[in-house]
Formats: sequence, structure tokens, C-alpha cells
Amino acid sequence: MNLTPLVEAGWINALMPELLLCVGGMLLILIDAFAPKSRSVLSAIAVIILVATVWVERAIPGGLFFGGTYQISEITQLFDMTFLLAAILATLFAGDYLQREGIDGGEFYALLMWGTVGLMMMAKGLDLLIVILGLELVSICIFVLVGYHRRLVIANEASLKYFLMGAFATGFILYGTALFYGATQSTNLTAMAQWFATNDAAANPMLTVAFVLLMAGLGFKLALAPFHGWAPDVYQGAPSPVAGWLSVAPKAATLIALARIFYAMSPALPHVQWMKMVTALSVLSMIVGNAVAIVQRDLKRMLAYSGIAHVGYMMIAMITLRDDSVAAIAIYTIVYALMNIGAFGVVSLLSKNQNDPQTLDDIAGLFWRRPFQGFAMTICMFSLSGLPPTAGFMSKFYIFKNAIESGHTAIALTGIITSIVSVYYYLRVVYFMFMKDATEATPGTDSGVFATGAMAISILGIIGIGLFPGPLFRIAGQAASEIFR
Amino acid sequence: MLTKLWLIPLLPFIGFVLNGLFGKRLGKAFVTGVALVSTFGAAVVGTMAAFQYHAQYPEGERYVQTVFNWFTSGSIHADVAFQLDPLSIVMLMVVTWIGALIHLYSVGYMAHEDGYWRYFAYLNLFLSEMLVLILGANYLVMFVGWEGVGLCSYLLIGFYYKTDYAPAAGKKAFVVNRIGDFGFLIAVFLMFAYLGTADFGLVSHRAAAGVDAWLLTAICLLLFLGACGKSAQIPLYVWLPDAMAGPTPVSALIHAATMVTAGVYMIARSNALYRLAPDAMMVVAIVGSVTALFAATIGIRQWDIKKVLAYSTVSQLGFMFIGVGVGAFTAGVFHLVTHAFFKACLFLGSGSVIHAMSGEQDIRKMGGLRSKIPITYWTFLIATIAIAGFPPFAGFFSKDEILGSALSSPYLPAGVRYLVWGLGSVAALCTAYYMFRLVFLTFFGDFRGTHEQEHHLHESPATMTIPLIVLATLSTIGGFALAWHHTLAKWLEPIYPKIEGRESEFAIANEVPLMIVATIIAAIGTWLAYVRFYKRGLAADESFAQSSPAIARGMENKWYVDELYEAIIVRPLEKISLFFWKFIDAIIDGLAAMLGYIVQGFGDLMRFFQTGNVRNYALMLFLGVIVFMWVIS
Repeated sequence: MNLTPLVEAGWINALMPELLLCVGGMLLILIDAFAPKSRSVLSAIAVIILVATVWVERAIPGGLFFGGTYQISEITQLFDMTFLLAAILATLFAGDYLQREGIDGGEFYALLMWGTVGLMMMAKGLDLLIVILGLELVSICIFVLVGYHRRLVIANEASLKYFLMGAFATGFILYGTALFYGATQSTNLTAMAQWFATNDAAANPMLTVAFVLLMAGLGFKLALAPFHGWAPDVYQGAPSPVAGWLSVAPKAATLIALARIFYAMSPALPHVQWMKMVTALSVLSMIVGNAVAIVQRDLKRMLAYSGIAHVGYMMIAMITLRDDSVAAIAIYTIVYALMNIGAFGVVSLLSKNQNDPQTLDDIAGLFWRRPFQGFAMTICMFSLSGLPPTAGFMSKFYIFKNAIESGHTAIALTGIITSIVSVYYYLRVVYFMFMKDATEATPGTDSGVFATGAMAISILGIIGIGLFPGPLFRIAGQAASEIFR
Repeated sequence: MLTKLWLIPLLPFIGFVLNGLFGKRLGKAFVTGVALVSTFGAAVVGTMAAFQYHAQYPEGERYVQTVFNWFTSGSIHADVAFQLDPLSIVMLMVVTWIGALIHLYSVGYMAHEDGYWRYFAYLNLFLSEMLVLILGANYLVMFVGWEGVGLCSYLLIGFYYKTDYAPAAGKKAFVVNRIGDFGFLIAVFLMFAYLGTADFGLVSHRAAAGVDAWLLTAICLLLFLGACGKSAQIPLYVWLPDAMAGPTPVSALIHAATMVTAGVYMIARSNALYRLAPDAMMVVAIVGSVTALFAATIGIRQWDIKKVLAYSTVSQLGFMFIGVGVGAFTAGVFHLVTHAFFKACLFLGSGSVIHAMSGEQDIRKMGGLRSKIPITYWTFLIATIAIAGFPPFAGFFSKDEILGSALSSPYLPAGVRYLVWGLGSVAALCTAYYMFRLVFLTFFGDFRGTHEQEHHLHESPATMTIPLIVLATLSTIGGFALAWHHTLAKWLEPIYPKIEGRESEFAIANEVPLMIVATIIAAIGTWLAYVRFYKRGLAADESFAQSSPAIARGMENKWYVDELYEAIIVRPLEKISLFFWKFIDAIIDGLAAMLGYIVQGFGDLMRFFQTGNVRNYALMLFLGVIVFMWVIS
């Protein structure tokens, strides 16, 4: 019997981005420890490391590594780029923010980078255990990042909540995985795909239990209704740049992992009722997220509920499950990173006592006080609500078009109707920025170079992808076919 | 210029960027220059392109210019492309030239307002988006313009953002329009899914080649839902009267002459689809005729000069939908053009009145302005005669053609034809009545305002009167010129693809008698207004309120439609939101507490989770899993 060598040649090249981020993170902590005076340039160094990783990422070879458990292909590269984009935007916004709040430190950026490594593992794992390993790595980083404002009660509370609930959800995921292993004798997705192709999944009720547990656990991580309860509390307590990152990057990684799991199961899906659960999660998320966001006055809570709705839209792609689906998710998450981190970033500039909620009143007249911030927020809101010609329109269009083409008209209609409802609360933000007068007490800070740069990236990205979505569509479409290679 | 079609929307867009970025710093002269050069530039370039087009394509073929491939995914392909054909040229001429005139007018009207630069930046952006809408070569590009003009409309309605009502009116306009956009968007999805394209030419072609009837009816009805939003038809008309909160030139340009007619344009553009879906056409015709009458009755009893004109616009748009709904697309577009002339003239005239009255809009405080502002008076009167439908003024020809076609339409059953014609004719009577009521109350009788207002009365500057004179001239001769030898009908002929058994042209039976009837109807309306308001003035309104109080109150309060919508849509929606937020959370809390009591052994664990709502979230996860397992296994 031939044993495949566990470590293939060239693995070190393939893992270059992850390694670079790990080492970079440690470097930042060391710099902070030995040269505390250089604290003000830490964010600049972090950005340089992240941009270097982007550069390295372009050149890595594709293939399967570590005994067929770690896949590197165009699609994982595309998702890595999304994670790096999210990290870069969060870092740019965080630099000024942390200094203003007096909580600057190397470990912040280090945690962001290590979290990104975890995300990359989730996106590349062809084995459920790798996915879970990545997920836990991310969760630990998030746990610390959310509570980074360690003197604030709401931050501590948010952190503890995320920790407790995360642990609870991980239990579900692990248990589900164990049951899958019990039924299919493997945690490797390639092997599971073969098993599903040759065996009757409907004959084994254990698989249904496994699916529900796994889906519930991942649904929690995605903040899908009805497992969404934690999200508003956690986003509200987390530093705003972290909340932006948290609302995008982990969801993107979870979705690609989930898509791969679904693909492995795809031969069985017509014979079982599992998709009903996914449909229910998607519909509930769209309805609950959008309906509740209407009554929120706290900007971060509003964005949290809007995020629940957006994952609901993305889950539509999961239900249709065709070649375009992975492309749709890839496109949506990139766009979502630009617009949602941008929006949270502008909120982070409305600095005041972080224990207080940041409400609509705090953004009143922003366009007239600080036109660039107001403009950036306007573009982000338009994109989130799906107005053409922004990127948000294109990404939603792609998902709804796929759903209608593949005959899922009802769920597409739900998506379109709820997204029209959502215009109401996104527009309200614009309304406050343009048409309400600020008072003396209205907070706000001028944005530094980094935050301005981040807003510029968001604006250019949103309008650029909106006007010229062709290249992104093409790249995502090509890459999507490689989800299983 | 024909090869540079993209330049037409780009010019005003550049104006928007320059005014938006530098307008505040560089002052009024700069803003005025940029705004006028960019809009008149677009008009000149557009006209040149139209002439070149006509020289190169005398048969009226469709000229398409692809700027770049927007996206391709699978079999779906969409271009950013502009087109010229006879229909877009008609729209192009109306939009650019009236747009340019209204820019000129605004220079005088907005001279003393704060945010002069902001106003022109928005207005230029509007013009640019409107041009994208009418020049787009497929439904998707059209949709971009469609949303863009909606956005500008929102910004301009809310221009006086320091007032209470203007921002709310803007928001209402935007939200109501989104309901219509929902229809438009789904129609586009259906086209992509079943016809594989959204290109105007290909959609018509593939639809004519044979598609299921239900699909065409669905697409047409959904498109019409979009048109109802943008063009203010029942049930989505409620935003347009409120939109009068914006500056008056905006009301003239966006909410009378151009943007609100986009729905009519879209249906004329989709004529091949509609001709194949007579059921959808019937809906369009009926909604149009009901709206025409309904809005006209409200217009009878409004006192805000702009509100009267706003309801009049809703009503006149209803006439246009009758036209396209009965299959007389040319007549619908004809009325669109003449309406743009006389309604822009009326709105600009009302702006001139308001300007003279130091901002007063209530006609109860006007009266006798005839001699004080003669140019405004004469132009306003001409436009009123035109809208009332007296020959040979512009409105007569188009309205007559619409009502005549309604009776002769081969697409509708006889009962519907008579219904539509009847409703339209009564609406025409009301139109003559409320318009002359407005003229008599505003320009005749004694002045009813304050002494100070009377002292300030003055004719407007030349930048305002020149557009008035131009538009009044067009209102006089424009209809006759286009109807002479069927000029417009012949021009538009090529936009109707040949479809077996679905002719675009049909003869109007009894044309001359109908013309006489239409003139008599207009005369009756005018005579009634004369008898009641010329001598008695406001007293006529009071005696009406005493003799039939219920009807008067209903008209005054716009038949309580806003209140109805508030009660059946807005409030329930808010309740649903609160329900999800408060009530469901409360249930979860209750369940968790109950479970805590039941499972005492679990108690320690549960206490551990007692930070905030963590316990409940965990329970939700747990219950969710159980429910899902139960449902799907």
C-alpha cells in the first residue's frame, strides 16, 4: 500500500501568504514591545505587510496539499483577496480610531492578520477538520478584537457573549461533523462527495441530524435568523472598524466553506429535504433583518440587522447551487466588503464616548460638515440598498438573476421585495446626512490620511465595479468552476 | 456627432462634477456659466446628432452605439450602449431644449437662494441621467437612468431641507418610486430569463417571434407598475403633489415636462410587447383614464397654485396612458410633447407669479395680477387655452387624437372603449374648469394679498420671461405643426415593428364630429369656470362648500388617499417591524425563563449564561435545531 507523503513539495510556496501574515503579526507585536515610541507607524507597517501579502498571493502555485486536504486554486485566491481587502480596509480605519481612543497597540493588527490566516484556512480546507481549525482560529481572534476596548463595559459584554455563543455553536458544528464522519467514514470533502455519489443519503437519518447541526452552527457564525441574536450586541460593543471586518470577512469564509460542503452533498440533495432548512434560514434572515433594521436608530445595530439581511440574499445563491452560485458569492462578498466596512468606517469617525450608542442624530448634517465622509457614506448606503449603477446593484442583480433563471422565483421575489423595504432605512441615513442640521453636540472627527484612503478605496471600488463589472464577473466565473479540482 | 452619442449625457454630467466640486468656492458666475454651457451644449450636440442621423438613416432604422461591454455571465450579455431612433430623437429634443430653457429660467428664479451651486449641480445631474434614460439601448441602461432621475428628483424635492415638509416629501417620492422600480426590475429579470436579452431590438424581435402570452402580459404589467411609480398613476401617484415642495423650475422640468413622462416613453418603447399583450394594454388604458378623472377632480378644489398644476399633471399623464393603452402610441407621445410645452409654461408661469408675490403660493391671497405681470399673464393664459383643448392650440390636437383613438381601438372590447372615452371626456371637462378657475382667481378680480406684497409686485427678469414666451409660442403652434400632414405619425412610423395582425396605425372613426364634441366639452368647462369665478371670485368656492359639503371636503383632502395609505400600509409595516423586534424577543425571554424553572438541574448552567440575552440566544439556537430537525426529517 502506497502512502501519499503528507507534505508535498512546494508546500512552503503555497503557504506563503499565511506564513507571511503569521510572521508579520509577530513582528508587529515585537516592534510594539521593543520600540513603543513607534506605535504611531504600526498601522502603516500592518498595511505594508497586508499589501505585500496581496502581491505574494498573485504568484502562488495552485494544487492540492497536505494529503488532499488543502486546496489552492483561483477561487481560493479570489477569496484570499477578499479577506485581505477586508483586513486592509479595517486596518486603515483602525489606525486613526485606535489612536483617538487611546488603545493603540501592535496586537490589534496581529490579531487581525492571524484571523485572516484562519479565514484562509476555512476557504481552502477540503477537509471539515481544516475548516473547523480555521474557524476556531478566527473565533479566538474575534473574541479578543471585539473586546479590544477593554475598559468599556459594552465591549467586555460583547466579547463574552461572542465567546460563549461561539463555543456553543462550535459544539454543534463539531457534533455535526462527527455524525458525518460516522455516516460517510470520512471528514474529507472529496471522499464525502464520492460517498454521496454512490450511496443513498436518504436511507440514513443520522445524516439529517448531522446536516441540521452543522447548518445551525454555521448559521450562527453567519448570523442567519433565527440564530442572529448575538450579532447586534456584538457589533455594537466592538470597535467600529472591527465590527465592519467582522460583518464581512468571517461570513465570506463560512460561505465558501459551506458552498464546498453543499457541492460535496449535491448528488444527495434532490432526495432529501435539507434545502428546506437553508431556504427557511434565507427567507427568515431577509425578512427579520430588514424589518427590524427599520426601527433601529443606533447605526451599528442597524448595520448589524442589515448584515443579517445581506447574508440572507447570499444564501439564495446557496439554494440555487449551480456553477454561477460560487461566483455570485465571491462577487457579493467583495462588494459587501467595500460597502459595509466603508459604512462602519464612517461610523468609526463619529467618535465620542464609545459607551454611548451612535445614533442617526450623530450623523445629522454630516455631508455639509465633512463632505467627503458624507459622500462616502452616501455611496455605501446606495450600494447597500442596491441602486444602480453601484456595485451593490450588480451583485444583487447577479444573485436574483440566477435564482429566477433556475426557477427559484418565489425566493427571488422575497429577496427583491425585502431589498426594496431596505431602501427605507438606508435612505434614512442619507436623509439625515443631507437634510438634518447638526447641533453643537453632534460629534465627528476629521479623517486622517489612512481613513480618507480607505473611504476612497470604497468609493472607487463601488462605482468601479458598478460601471465595469465585466472583469470581476469574468474572473469569478472562471474561478468558480475550480471549487473542486 | 452621431458617433459620439455618449457625449450628450456626458456634458451635463461634467457640469454636475464641476459645480459639485468647485461651485461653492468659485461663485455664482462660474456656476451659471458651467450649467448653461453644459446644458445648451448637450442640446446643440443632440440636435446635430439628430440631423446627421436623419441624413444617414432616412428610413428611421435603429442606430446603436456600444460604448463598452457591461458584463457577460453565461448566456447573458449586457452592453452599455446608446441608441438613436425616431422616438429617442423626439424625447431628446424635448428633454435637452426644454431642459436648457429651464436652466436659463432658473438663473433668474434661484438668484437669491442659498445653495445656488448645489441646485445647479443637482439639476445638471438630473439632465444627464434623463439623457441616459432616453438614449439607453437596452432596459438595463434605461433602468440606470430611471434610478438616477429618481435620485435627483429626491435631492431636488428636498432642496429646501431646512423646512419640515420638503425632506419628507423627497423621501416619500423616493420610497413610492421604489415600489414601481420593483416591477421594472422583475420585468427585466423575466426578459433575461425567458428572452435571454434586455436589448430593445432583440426583445421586440424575440417577443414577436412567438412567446407564451402569460409571459408577455406579466412583463408588460410589471413594466407598467414601474411606469405607475415614475409617472404618478393610481395607485402610486401620491408622491407627485407632495413633490411640489421643491423649487418651481424643478417642478416644471422634472415633475411636469420630462421625468414623469418616462413611463409613457417606456411603454411606447415597448410597443411591440404591449401590442402582443392586449390584456395589459387594457389595464394601462383603464388605469390611465381613471387617474385622469380622479386627479382632475382633486385639482378643482386646491388653493396652492402649484398643487393645482401638480394634480393637473397627474391627470394629463393619465391621458398619455390612455393613448398608449389603447394602442395609439403616437398619440400618447404626441401628448407627451405638447404637454411638455404647455405644462412647463404653466409651471414656469406659476413660478413667475410666486416670484412676484414674494413667495406666496396661495391663490386665495392673489387676484388681479393681470395688469401687474402682463407677460406672465398672457403666456399663462395661452398655456391654459392649450391644456383646456381649444383649437388650434397644442393640447387640442393631441388630446383629441387620444380620445378619438380610444373609441376606435382594435385592441379593446367595446365596453372598455366607451368607458375609457367617457372617463377621459369628463376629465377633459374638469381640466378646462379647474384651469380657468385658476386663471380667474389668480389674474382677475381684486388683489387679496397684503399691502406689502402688493407693493413688491413686479414682472420677472428677462431670463425668466424669455423661456415663458418660447414655451407659450410652442404651446400655440406646436400641436398644429406636428399634426399637420401627420408629421409626427410619419416620423414615428419606423419604431413600430411589423407584427402580424397587430397594426400600429388604425383610422379614427368619426374624426370630425369627435373634434367638435371635444371643443364643446372644453367650452363648457371654461364657461362654467367663467360663470362661477370671473365675477364672484372666491365666493364661488364657498358656495360650493356650502351646497355640497361632503364632495368639497373630499376634494380638498384629496379623497383621503394619503390617510388611507397611512392606515393600510405604513402603520402595519411599522407594527410588523416592532413585532419582530419586541414581541418575538419577549416570547424568547419568556420561554427561556420557563425552561429555567422546568429544568432546575440545568439551572447552574443557565445562570452561567446570564449576561444580557446570551441565555436566550443559546436557547434560540437549540430550539431552532429541534424545529428544523422535526420539519425536514
